[in-house]
Amino acid sequence: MSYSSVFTQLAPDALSMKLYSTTAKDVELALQNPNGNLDSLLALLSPAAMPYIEPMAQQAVQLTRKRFGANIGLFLPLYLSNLCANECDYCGFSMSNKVKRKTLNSDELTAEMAIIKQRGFDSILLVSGEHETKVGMGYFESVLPLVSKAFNYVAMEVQPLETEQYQRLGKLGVDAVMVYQETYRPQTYSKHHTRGKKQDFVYRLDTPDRVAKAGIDKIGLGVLLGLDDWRLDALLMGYHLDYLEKTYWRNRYSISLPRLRPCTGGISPKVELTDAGLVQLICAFRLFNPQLEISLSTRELPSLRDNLLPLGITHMSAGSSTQPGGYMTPDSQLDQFEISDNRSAEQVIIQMRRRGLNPVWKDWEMGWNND
Amino acid sequence: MTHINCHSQIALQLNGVEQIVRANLNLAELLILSDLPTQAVAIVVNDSVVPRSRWVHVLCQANDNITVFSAVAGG
Amino acid sequence: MLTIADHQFSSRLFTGTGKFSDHNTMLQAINSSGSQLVTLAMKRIDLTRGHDNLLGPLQSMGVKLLPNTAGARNAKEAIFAAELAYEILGTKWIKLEIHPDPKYLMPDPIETLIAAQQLCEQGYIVMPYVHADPVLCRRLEEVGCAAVMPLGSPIGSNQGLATETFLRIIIEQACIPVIIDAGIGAPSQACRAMEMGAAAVLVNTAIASSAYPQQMAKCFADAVATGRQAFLAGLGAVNHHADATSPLTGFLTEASINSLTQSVNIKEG
Repeated sequence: MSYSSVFTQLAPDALSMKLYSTTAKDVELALQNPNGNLDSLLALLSPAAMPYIEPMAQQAVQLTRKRFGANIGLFLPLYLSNLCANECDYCGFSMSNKVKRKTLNSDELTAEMAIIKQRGFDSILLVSGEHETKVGMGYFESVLPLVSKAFNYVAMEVQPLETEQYQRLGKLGVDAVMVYQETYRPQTYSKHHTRGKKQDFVYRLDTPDRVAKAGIDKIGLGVLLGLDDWRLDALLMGYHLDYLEKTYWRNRYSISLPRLRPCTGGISPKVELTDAGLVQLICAFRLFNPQLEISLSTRELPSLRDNLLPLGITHMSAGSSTQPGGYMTPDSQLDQFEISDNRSAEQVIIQMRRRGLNPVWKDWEMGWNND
Repeated sequence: MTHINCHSQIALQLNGVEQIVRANLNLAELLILSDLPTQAVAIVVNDSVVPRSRWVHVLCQANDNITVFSAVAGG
Repeated sequence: MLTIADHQFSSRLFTGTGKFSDHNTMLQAINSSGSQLVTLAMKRIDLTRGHDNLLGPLQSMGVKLLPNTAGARNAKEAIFAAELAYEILGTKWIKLEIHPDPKYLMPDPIETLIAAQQLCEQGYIVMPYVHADPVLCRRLEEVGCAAVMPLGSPIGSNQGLATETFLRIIIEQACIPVIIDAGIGAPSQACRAMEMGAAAVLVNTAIASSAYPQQMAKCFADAVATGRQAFLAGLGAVNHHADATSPLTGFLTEASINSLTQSVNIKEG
C-alpha cells in the first residue's frame, strides 16, 4: 500500500473548482473547525480566505505557541555534491547547466562540518543533487558516520531510495528524510522534469511511504510554489500529509514552502504567489495541523522571514550556503538557488529574540534511540 | 485403561454433572440423549472445541469432561 | 450507511441483550430500538434448567448477532471463546471483551491486543472493547480490527462520556469505525457521542434497567439519529475568544498583497 494508489482517486480539477468557488461563509466555517479537516484546509487556501488572514494568523500563532512554545529549531544545509543526472528547469544543478561540478571528499566534508559546528549548529541537512552512481549509497554510507558523530540531528535531502536503503541510512544515524514532490500535478511535473530518474512522478510520490516503512523518525514534504497553481499544489500536499499521518502515525512530519526563485537558466512562476499568499499558506497549514513542523528556507528576504517566523514556523536555516564547499569558500561555484537572506546566524537570532522567539540548536525530542 | 463393564457403559462429565452413558456414543447422539439442542451450540471435550462436522465421528470416552455451550443474553 | 467489514447498517445504535427482566421485554426493546446489531454472551448450558430459545426470535428480527467474549480473563480464554462463538453462531464476527477486573469490568489492554492480533490472523472480524486509549486503538487498527469500541465510562455505570477528550482524539485519528461502548446512560449522551463523530454507539444497561425499556430504546434510537444528523450538518465549534493583540499581518502592505516582492540582483551563472 502506498500513496500513489490513493492519489489516483483524487479529483484535482474538482478540487481546483472548489478552491475558486469558495465563499466567505465557507472560510468562516473552516476557521471554526480546521484541525485535520481537508475541506477546511481547502477553504483556508482559497482566495476567499485572504480577507481573513489576520484572524488566521492570530489562531496560527496561538496553536504554534501551545505546541512548540517560542522555539525555532536552527539547522544548516550542507551540500555534499552538485552532481546531478536529472534535467529540472528550475534548478541550478540541472544536468545540462554548464556549471562546475563538485562532490566533497572526506577532508572537505570535515572542513565544512567544522565551520558549521563552530557557528553553533547541531542539526544538519545533507543535500545533494540526484546522481545514483557517483553520489549513491556507497558515498552516503561513507560520509554518514562522520556526520552522525558530529551532529545531533541529521536530515537528508537526496534522490529517492528504496526502503531497505533508508533502513541502512537510519542505522547510520539519519533522523529525517526530505523528499519534495515539487508539484502534485503530473502534467506540470513532466514539463519541468525532462531527463533522468526524477521524471518518474509515481516513484517520487511513493517515497515518503518507503521512508516511513524504514522507520525514519521525520519525513519532510514540500512543493516548489509556482510550478503550478500554488493553492492547488499546497492542498494536494495537505492530502498527502493527511494520508501519511494516518498510515504512519508514529512518524513526525514537516513541510517546506519554497517559492520559485531565480537560478541559472531559471523560469518564472506559473501563478503569482505574493507575500500575503505565503502568510496564508503558513497559517492554513498550522490551523490544519497543530503538530506539523514548518520549515523556512533562505529563499525569502530578511524582513519577510522575520515577520513570517512567529506565525507558525518551527525550523529555519541562517547563514546558509547552497553549494558544495560553500562554507569554506563561498562564491566559488554555483548556488542551487539564489539566497535572499544572506544574514549570519547571529543577525537572524537577534531579530528572532526581538520577537520573543527562542533559537534552539538541539532537538531534544530525539531521546536515547540513536544507535 | 478404559474399564468397560458388562453393560458397555461409561461415566463422563457433562456440563459439570456426571452422566452414565453407553460406550461408543458419539457426540451428536450425546446431545440428543441429553435433551440438548443440536443447533447453535458448541461442544468442548477436555478443553478442545470439537467442530460440528466431527460430532458424529467423535466417540465419548470414559472420564471425558464435556461442556456444551450456547449463546445467552448478556453484555 | 455504516459499513463494518462487509456488512452495512442503517442504524447506528447497537444494543446488548443483558440485564433485561425477561426475554420478551428484551425482544420488544430491541425491536423498538431499530438496532441491527445485538451482542450476546456464551455460557455453558445449565442442565437443570430449560434451554431458552433466544436466537430464534432474534434471528427472525433480522439483526446481526455479535457474540462477545465476556467471561474471558485473558487472551487465551478470549480466543477460546471466539472459537466457541464460531461454532455456536457460525459467524467470525467477535466482540473482544477481556475484563479480569470483576469490580469495574475494566478491559485488559495487553490481553486484548494479543488476542486481537491472533484472531485477526485467523480471519475473525474483531471488534475490541477497550479503554479510550488513542495509541491502543491505533495498535488495534494496525493488527487488523474491523472497528474499535472505546468505553465512555465503566460498564453499567451510566456515567456517560467520562472519556470524551480521548474519544475525540480516537475519532480524529481512526480510519476504522469507532463505536462508543459502555457507560452511556441517557439518550442525550448517545446523541453527544454521535455529534462528536462516533460511527455508532452500543447501549445495554441504560435501556435494560429503565422503567420502560421499550420506550427508552426508541428514545435512544431517536437520539442517535439526531446526533448523527447534527454531525453531518456541521456543528459550529465553541468560540474560544482570542485576545486581540497587535496585528500580525500588518507588515503586508497594500502593494505587497498585490504583487511579488522584488527580488535582489540576479547572480550571473
